[in-house]
Parts: sequence; C-alpha cells; structure tokens
Amino acid sequence: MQKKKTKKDSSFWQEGKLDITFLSFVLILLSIGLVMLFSASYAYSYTYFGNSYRFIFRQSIFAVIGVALMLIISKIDYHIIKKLSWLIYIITVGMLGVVLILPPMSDELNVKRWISIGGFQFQPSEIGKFAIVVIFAAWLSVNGDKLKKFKYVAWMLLLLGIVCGLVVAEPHLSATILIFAIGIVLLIVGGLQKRWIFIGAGGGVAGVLFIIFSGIVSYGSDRIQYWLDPWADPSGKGYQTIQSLLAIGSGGLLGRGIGQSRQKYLWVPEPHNDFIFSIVCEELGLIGAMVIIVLFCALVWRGFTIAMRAKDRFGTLMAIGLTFQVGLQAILNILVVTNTIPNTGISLPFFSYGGTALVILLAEMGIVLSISRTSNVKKL
Amino acid sequence: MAVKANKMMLTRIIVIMLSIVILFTSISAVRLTKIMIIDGEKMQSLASEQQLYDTLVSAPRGDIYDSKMNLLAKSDTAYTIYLMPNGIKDLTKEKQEKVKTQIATGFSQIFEIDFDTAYAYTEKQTYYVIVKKRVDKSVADKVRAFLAENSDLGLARYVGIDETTKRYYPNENLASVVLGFVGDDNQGLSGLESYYDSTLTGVAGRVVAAKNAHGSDMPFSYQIVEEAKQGNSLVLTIDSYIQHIAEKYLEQAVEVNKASNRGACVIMNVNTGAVLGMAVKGDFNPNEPFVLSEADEELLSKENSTVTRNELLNKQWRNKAVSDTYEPGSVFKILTAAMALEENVTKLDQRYNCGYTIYVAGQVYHCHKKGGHGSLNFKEAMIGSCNPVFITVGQLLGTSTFSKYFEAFGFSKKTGIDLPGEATSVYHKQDKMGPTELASSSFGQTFKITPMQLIAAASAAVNGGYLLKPYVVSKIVDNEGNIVKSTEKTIKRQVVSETTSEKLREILKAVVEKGVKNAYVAGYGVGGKTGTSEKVAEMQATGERGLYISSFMGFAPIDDPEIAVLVMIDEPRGDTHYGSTVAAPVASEILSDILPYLGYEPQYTEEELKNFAVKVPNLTNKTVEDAKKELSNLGLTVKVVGDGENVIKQLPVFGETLNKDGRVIIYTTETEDVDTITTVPDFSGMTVGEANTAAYGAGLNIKYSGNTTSGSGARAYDQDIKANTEVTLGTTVTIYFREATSSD
Repeated sequence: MQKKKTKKDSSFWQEGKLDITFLSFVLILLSIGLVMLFSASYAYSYTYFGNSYRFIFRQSIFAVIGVALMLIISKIDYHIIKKLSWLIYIITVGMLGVVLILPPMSDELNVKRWISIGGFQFQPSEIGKFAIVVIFAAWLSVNGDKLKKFKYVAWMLLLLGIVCGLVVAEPHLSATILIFAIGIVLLIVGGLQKRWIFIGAGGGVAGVLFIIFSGIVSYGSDRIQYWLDPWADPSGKGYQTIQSLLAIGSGGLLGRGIGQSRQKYLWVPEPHNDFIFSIVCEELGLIGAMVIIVLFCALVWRGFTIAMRAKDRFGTLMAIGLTFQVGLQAILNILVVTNTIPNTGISLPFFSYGGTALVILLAEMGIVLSISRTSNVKKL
Repeated sequence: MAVKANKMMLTRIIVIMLSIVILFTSISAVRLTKIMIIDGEKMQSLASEQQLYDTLVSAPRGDIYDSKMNLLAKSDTAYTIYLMPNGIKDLTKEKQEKVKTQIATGFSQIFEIDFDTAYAYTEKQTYYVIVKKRVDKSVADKVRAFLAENSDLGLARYVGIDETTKRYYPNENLASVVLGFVGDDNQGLSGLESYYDSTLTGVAGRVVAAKNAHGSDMPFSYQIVEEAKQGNSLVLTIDSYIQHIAEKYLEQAVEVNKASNRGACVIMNVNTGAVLGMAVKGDFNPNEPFVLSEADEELLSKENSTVTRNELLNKQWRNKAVSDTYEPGSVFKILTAAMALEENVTKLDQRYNCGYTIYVAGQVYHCHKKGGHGSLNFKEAMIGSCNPVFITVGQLLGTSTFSKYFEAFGFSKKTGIDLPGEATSVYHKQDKMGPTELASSSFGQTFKITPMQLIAAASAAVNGGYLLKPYVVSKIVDNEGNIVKSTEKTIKRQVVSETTSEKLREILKAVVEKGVKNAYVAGYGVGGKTGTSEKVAEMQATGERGLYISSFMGFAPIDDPEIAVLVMIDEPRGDTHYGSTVAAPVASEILSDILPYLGYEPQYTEEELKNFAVKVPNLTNKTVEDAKKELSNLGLTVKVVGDGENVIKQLPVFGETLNKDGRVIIYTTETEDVDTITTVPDFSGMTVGEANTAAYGAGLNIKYSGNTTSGSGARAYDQDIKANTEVTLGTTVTIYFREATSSD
C-alpha cells in the first residue's frame, strides 16, 4: 500500500478513499440549505420575477455543478495547488485590483465587489480567501520554522496585508475580517511563536478599539449606531435588523413549520441572501436553528480532523484554512442575523443564494475531500 | 519528504477547533434563546402587528319591503377604489414618476377630478388610501380596463378594487322620512335604517390575512375567512299605494296652502295599530339625503338668511309625525268627549248654553263663533266645536280625572312606535294643573303631543276603547324568506268602554255630515274632527301673527272604523287656515282613493248617484250614428270633429270616467286642426255649477274631487291641469272643491 501510494505521488490523480463523514455533512448542509432557500425566496421571487422558482432553480443548477466539481476535485491530487500557489496569489491580487478600476456593478455607488467573466458574476474577495489559504499553506508547510524571525512574519503579514487592503478598499469589511482571520489562524497553526501571538492579540484589540472610537471607518460607524439601537430608525437603517429579529423571534421553540414563515413575505429584505438564517429560525424554531449550528460545528470538527491526519503540512494547513473559513463565515453570519455584531453583509455558506459562491465553496470542499483521501482516517 | 504536522500544530488545531465549536454553539444558543424564547412573544406580536391585516367584509344589508312585498330599499353592489402608494416607492425614481403620472392621468379621467388631486394620492405616505367609495360597476369596470391597458407598468400592484354595497331606494322620496337613509359605511342614520340598523346590518365577515410588506395578499399566504352573514329584511305595515296617495295629497295641500313648516299625515289601522302610511312633506330623496329642495336652497341663498344648511337638512330628515310635538287644538275634543261620556258627566243630548264667553277662575275664554252658539246639546257642541261647552265638561271632570284619562290615553308616555327620535310630550302634571290649565287643556291647547300620540289615542276612543301600540314593521325576514320575528297587535289597555266608543262614532259621523263637509267622501261614511290650533308660543317668540296648525283626525268607515287618518298642516299661509278647509279636504281625497283600494264597496245615496260617473265606451271603428246613440243612452253629449263616417279617435279614451252630462269628442278624420285645441280656464273660486259651465264652454270634461255636496258652499281651490294650459278638446280636468267654512 505504502509503496503504491508513494509511486502515485507525482500523479495528477489522487488515490485513496474520501472521508464519507465530511462529505455527508457537506451534502446534508447543502440539502437543508437548498430547501430553506426555496422556502425563503419564493415569495420574493414571485413578487419581483413573477415566478416562485427562479432562485431555487438557479441555485439547484449551481449546486449540481458544484457537487460534480467537488467530487472531481476530490480525485485530483491537491499538491497541484501548492505548485500553482504563487500564480493563484498573483492572479487574485490582479483581480482585486481590477475590480476597483471597473465601474461598479451593483446599484450601490462606490461599492465595487463584483466581476463578470463570461456571464458569471463573482466576487474576487471569494477568491481572495482561497488565495490566502493557498499561499499561507504553501509557504508555511515549507518555511514554518522561519517564523521565529520577524522578517518572515512581516513577509507573511505583507502578503496578507495586500489582499486585505484591496478588499477593504472595495469596501468589503466582512470579507476583509474573514481573510485576515484565516491568515492569522494559519500563521498560528503554522508555527507562529507565542510572543507574536500575544503581541498580535494585544495589537488587534487596540486596533479594534481605535476603529470604533476614532470613527475612521465612517460606513461602519453608522452601522454600529443602528446595531446598538435598530429601533431608532425602524423603517430606515434599522429596518433590516428589526425584520430579521422579528422573524427569528416568531420562530419560538419549534418554529412555524417549513414554508410557514410570514416574514419572508417581503418583510425581511432579500430573505434569500444574508438574512436567510432568520427565515430558517422562524420556520424551524430554536431547535431547528441549533441543529443547523451543530451541523456546522460537526463540519468544522470533521474538517479539522482531516487536517490533523493529513499526510503532510500543506494538506493540514489547507484543510484548516478552508474549514475554518466555512465555520467562521457561518458564525459571523449568525451573529449578524441575530444582531449580536453590527451588520457587515456576510452570507451563510450552503444557504445563501449565489451560484458562483456556492460553486467555489463546493470546489473548496472538494479540496478538503482530496486531502481526506491521503489522511490515515479509518476508511469505511 | 512530506512533513506531517507536529505536536504543537496539532495542539493549536485542537484549541482553535474547540474555540470555534464552543464559541459558535454557546453564543448562538444564548442569542437565539434570548430572541426566540425570552423575547419570543414580544417579537411575535410585533411581527403579527405588521403582517396581519384584519379586513372587515361588510355583510349585505337587508332589504325593506312594503306590506305587499314591493321593494322600498335594497343594497346594490358597489365598489371602493383604493391605492397603495407605498408599493410604488420600491421602484426606481424614474419608474416611480412614470407610474405616478399614469395613475394620476387615469384617475383624473375616470373620477373626473383634476390631475393634481389625483397625483396627491400617489404621494401619500401610507400603504392604503381610499380614492373613491361606493362607485357603480361601470366605474369599477373603467378602472379594471385602465389597469389592463397599463399592465406593462404593473399598475394592478398599486391600485385595488374592493366590492362593497350601496343603498338604493327605487321609489326615491316615497316614505323617505320613515325609511331614513344610510351613511358612507352603510350605517343607518335616520328612520327605520337607524332604528333597525343592527337587524339590517347583519354580521360583518372578517378576513384576517397575512400580507406582505407591500400591503397586498400573497397568493399563497395564510388567511382566515369568517363569512359575512347577510342582514335581515324588514316588511313594513306601510302600503306603497296608500303611502303614495297620502304623499300626493299632502304635498298638494302643503303647496296650495303655502304651509311654511311642512305637513304630516298618518294613516293607521284603527284595530291593530299598524301604520299603513306615514307621510311628511317636504321630505327628501334618500338616495341623495344631503340634497336640499329647491325652495330650501333658495332660502339658504338669501342674503339675510338665518338658517344653516345643517338645520334645513335636519328638518327635511325629521319625521314630523313622530319627532315633533304640537298643540292638537279642537281635535283633542274627541278625547275630552270620550272622558266625559265614560265618566257620565254628560250625555249626547245634554243641553248647554254657549254665550260666547266663559269665565274660569277669573280667566275669560271665548267661543270661536262670534256671539256664541246659544242653546245646543253636547253632540251639537262637537259639531260646532264649541269651546265653552268643552270647558264646562272639562271642569266637571276635574283635574284628577282629566289627568288620569290623559295618561290612560297614552299622552304622558311615548307610543313606543318602532321609529327613532320619538318626541316626549309636554303637558300639565296633575299637581300643577289648576282650573285654567284644565280649561285650556279641555279644547286641546297649552300642552304638546306628537301626531302619533294623537292618532293612537283617538283610535282608542273609536275602536271600543283599546289603546294600541302603533308599529311600522310587521315582519323581520331572513335572506331565505323565513320569518325571524313578526309583530303582533299590542293592546296597552282599554281606556273607555265599547258604549262610549259607539257614542263617539255617532258624534264624529255627525260632525262630518253636518259640519265638516270637506271631509265627506261620497259612498263612504266618514267621521272625524278638525282642529285649528294657534301657535301661541311661536307667535310670542317671533312677533309674527297668524301662525296656526290646521289638522283633521278622521275615521272610516265610521260605523265600524278600520282606517284612521290624521292630517296636520303646519303654518298654512294661504287664503285660509282652518282645519276644516286646509286639512279635512286632504283626508277626504286620501280616503276616497284608498277605501276602494282596500276593498270597501261604496254605498251611494240617491243624491250621490245623480252625479255618478259614467265609464266611456269604446267607440273606435263604430259609425258616427252608432256612437252618438250609445253615448246619449249613457247620458253623455257628443261633439263630432271631421266629416268621416267612422270614429277613428275619441276623447276621453275608452275606460275613462266622466260625470253625467260629460262630453265625448269623436274624431272621424285624422286632424290636428287648431279648433281641436282649447285653453284650460282658471276654475278657482267657482262653485260646482260654475265650473261645469266653464268647462263646457272650453270643450273640456271635468272630474270633481273633494266636497261637492249640493247645497254646500263648496268652491274650487285647485285643479290638476294648470290654468291657461293648451290641451286637446275633451281632455278631463280634475277640479278640487272645498267648503269655505269658518269652523275650526
């Protein structure tokens, strides 16, 4: 066995059985996500497109493409990514630069997040997350020991800083936070010395406090005001938050039942996007919502398990980065939806509408599955 | 080669994993529990507040029918047009403007309002605004067509049509003060519509619907529907024909006598209390209750007018027969007589002497007849309406007996008729009543009652003594025709004996036969009593002189009364103001129309038969000779126009009635010659004989109405075709006669 595997190391295809448990969690979350997307979107879809099925139809097609892509990628040896890491990073930085130059695609002025290639629209920041995972995993898997020297830490932070800087310029705060957090987590796992961790933590806290009190990020501070008291402007800036809370609160312990949300009738703005979880809460109740949160945790647990058992550090770091990204995004989304943190505009993986994002997410899950084929997890 | 993760990495991975899992689950659990469980109820009710719209579905209002099931009031489907301005705000600025302009243009055309007014609706900061209430189907269809034409703009998302109902009174003014009218929300505002509002209204249905943030139903949204229950219908005791007749002659009387404060007429079944007709003039059209009569508008437009529109509206809606009180005057002598006969303080042939004046406790009272009546018996005192005799009788009764009967006849309490706004009477309580108050009360002055109270009491006096509760609604039926409730005759008490009642009938018959001939109806025995009361308080208040209320209370057939008719004309300002000249002819006209309608066979005296009308035969296609023969056999005269051999046209036409000696014109050639046209003369003030001559001279036929008893001094006071009108030869003109007596 060992021999055969070694022999195949240079091959394009990946041998070994994938981790069924992780795959199951992905598919369960995706299925629930699709059902809830259908439920949350049909009133909105009917009103604005005269057809209840527009959103679920499109999302389903992307889900099928995504799952197929995920299974194909799981068969590919993920080391190809390591070889392409610099290329991926440079292309990503390029796209993040281009998006700032292109005219904005959405209605909101001065917000430049989307790029359209061949009819597909996607956010380069989605790729940004992936690029950071790739470049950090690639570099740290080889140079982890060099982190004792500050210049290498600084080097890593520069790579991270370029991406974060371009994303925050869009501006896309939530993606910036995500990318930054992914980078830091990979640095910590990759061998960052304890003192740097503590210094970084201290600096981070100071920075956050500075941002909050200096009012430097003006588009954020408004959000903070209506985060603290959404009822100050119930039909304006606090509207989305209030509608979300009303939806969640209407759910009670057991929920109204699937399809029975009333808040989705145009009360919650764009209930198929970032705020889909509020409709989930209304329909499935506290118990249903907690089941979904536990499923996300299970996905994180299984992804991290795959990481720990990966046959090399690149695999470990890749699996950590990708899984952490999903977990953190889910946490942030739910914290926003429940008005625990200010509204930053962050989608819920597997649930929120967005075809390209879903395909990218499933492709990333394919990489984790590819890593799982090499790990010494007990195979079924 | 491949370096696996070291222990430090694995430890850090586990720490991070655990922090994620613990943080995620704990924070989520805490936050969600707070929102969903602790604040759950509050959030739910806030959510329901914005999502649930409780829409009332108005129940179709019940109909109102007359006693013959002719429709008097019904509800037709109508439509409410509304707009949802908030929905428009979701559009882009440019599209908003397009939609608003298009809606305003459409509305301004459909509802005939100006563009700016229509545009203002689209600017309202609300999700729902009513543009127009209670429009007919044709307007609603126009709106639908407009929405369909503009489907590219999706206007149907912002404009809605709700079905409601609209009240419709097919007979317009007929019985309007009794029926009343409804307001914008179909709530009864006056008359039966108000009194029986809850019966007619039914139970409104509800639609509790979850609506979306645009304020419209989603096609698959949650909805609870409680069906509306149609209101019950009313069947009245009022007969449209009788009502029509009463209104026709009352209106004529109000006009001819220039009454400045309207008139009322109540027709009631003496033995059951069922009101067969209740007319008030001037009244209003309940389809347009807020429209004043032309005369009222003129009054209002006068520069120094002291009345307001509201006062005039309230006046035209007011049911004078029930809601106004007045001093009944001599009509009340019926009741004084009933008391006196029942208490045996007098007899029909008891003799009195009327010396023009009578003193009571130092106060002098006059008889209306100058010089007094001299010696007369009680019956004659009633015929002559002699005040001194009735004062004498009143004093004999005494305050306590008078008051006892006054209350027993129902004058101290409302009659309880099923109409709103019944007025309370004003009278001398026994402990406040002295000889002078008793004296004036004996002939119906110094206290105020409603016409309804009077007709109920007077009916009791002649029907064997039974005071009945008058009523207007005989049955309440549901929408399937099942009787929900029916009104039974309610006897309140027996006030006087059958014997007394019989004596009264005899007296009242004599009053019409010998005194008030204007109330006489050929072929039918009518009894009654007139009244001419002075509006003393009003005259003192305004300084105006000659304000009277002329009234007549009549019964027919008087030997076994079934129909009671009360006519009162308030403030007549014409040539005459007496009850006998102003009110009695109205009762006579009404009775002569409704008694045959009610199936009473006339029994003519020989004298009456002499004047009896002849039915004109069909002469068409007969030869002139045959026609002449046939007509002369019937006692009619002939005028032939043209030189043809056969009759091709005749006037009056076949089936019309003519008086004996009437003339029929037969045409033998088609002609429109000048000599077939004649001018109607002014008959007013003529006696029957003079009118006959004048009519013959003009080539007209005449029909007499009212008092034409020979030997009476009856004079024409009105005619149905106005003087100087050009009509065809042979046309029949109805002339109304009344005796110009000065008796009250």
